[in-house]
Amino acid sequence: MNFKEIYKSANDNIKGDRALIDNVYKKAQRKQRNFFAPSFAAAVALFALVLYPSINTHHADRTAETKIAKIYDSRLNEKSEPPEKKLAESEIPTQSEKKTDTVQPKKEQTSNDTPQAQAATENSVPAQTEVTAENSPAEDVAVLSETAEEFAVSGADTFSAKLASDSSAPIQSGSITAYALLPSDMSFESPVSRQKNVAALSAGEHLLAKSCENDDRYIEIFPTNSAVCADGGNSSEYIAHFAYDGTDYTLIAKNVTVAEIDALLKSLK
Amino acid sequence: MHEAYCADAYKQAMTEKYFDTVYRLALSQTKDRHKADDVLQEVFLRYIKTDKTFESEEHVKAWLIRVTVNCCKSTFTNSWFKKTVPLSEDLVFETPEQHDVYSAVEKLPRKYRTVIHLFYFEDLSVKSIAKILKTKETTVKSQLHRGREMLKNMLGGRSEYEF
Repeated sequence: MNFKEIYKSANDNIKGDRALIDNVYKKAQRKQRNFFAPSFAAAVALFALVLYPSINTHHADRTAETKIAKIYDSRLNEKSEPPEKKLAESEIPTQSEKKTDTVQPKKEQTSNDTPQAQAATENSVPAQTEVTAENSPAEDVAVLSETAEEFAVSGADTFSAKLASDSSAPIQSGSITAYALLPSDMSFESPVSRQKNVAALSAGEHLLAKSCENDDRYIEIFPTNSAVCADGGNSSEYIAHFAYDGTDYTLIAKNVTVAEIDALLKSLK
Repeated sequence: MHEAYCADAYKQAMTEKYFDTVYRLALSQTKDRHKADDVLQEVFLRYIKTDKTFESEEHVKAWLIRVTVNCCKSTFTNSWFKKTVPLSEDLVFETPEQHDVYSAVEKLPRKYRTVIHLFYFEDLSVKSIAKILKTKETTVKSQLHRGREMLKNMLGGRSEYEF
């Protein structure tokens, strides 16, 4: 007997289920019509490329927050030291330093200018504040409150976000991300502003920074077109205009030195 | 569009023609009807979806056999398959000789079973088998020889079987 013939005849009896052919074609058509996989992939790509970066601001802020926290701690340590110790440690301030530290609402003009004081004034205040250069060192402080001075920052000086990693960045309360260089005793009152005052500025928010030591010492920043500027300030306030991101802003300050305002504006550049 | 229709029609004709070939090979490999059904569907699904250009009908047949063997191998490597024991299915044969021969081939190790099936049932040459299985011809020859020896022993040394 031939093995090959027997094996062939044995296999000839074995038949597959023909209904499976239809199943195969149905499956093939179903897989061709399956839009789930490509649509799911597209959704994932959309999320990864577009949505996630805008959502995940937490990570981006954290680096700055860490640095800010360190600066803030150092500031806290400084503040926690008793004032007597501070005084003892610090040297007796020079006349020019005294004048730039505080701004008195009313000060008489003095004509006894010293060359050192004048040089200090020129260094601390840029050339755009011509009023200060013309006046005495005492006036560079007093001028802010004495008359409502206005000066406009160059239009080319568009402001961009400055990271708070700058060691001179002011830290207010908590781990805020303040971009503007405020005086050490001042902080923005709006929580939104505390987090990102530059972003708030671009959104046209009204920012108000007040001193924790003196309620009458403040800085206001708001869009020039807003109703806030309708009152035009008063005689004891210092007014400056600047442009940011195509929008004109007005800065009103009271009891703040030119140097402090200049530092604030420079920090936003 | 016309070419696509022709291609689909050709594939359908090939599917009809080699349906049983693939099924028998899958059954001889898996020794389980249900697994053979799964392999069968997988093989023809791949065939329908493939963009491969075939030179001839023989090329299609060789490709189908190759894919069937590969799909069966994948089934064996599946962890689920390792934990299962195929049900003993009694296939109905016309004569006792057919039953004896088929049972003896089923008992062979898989590598011998494959070459025996391709050589004796599909009438493929040693060269073709070697090409399809991507092995050397000498390997196929030795596997055929050992498979035959095992079959002779299993069939009780009956002299009436000629290989």
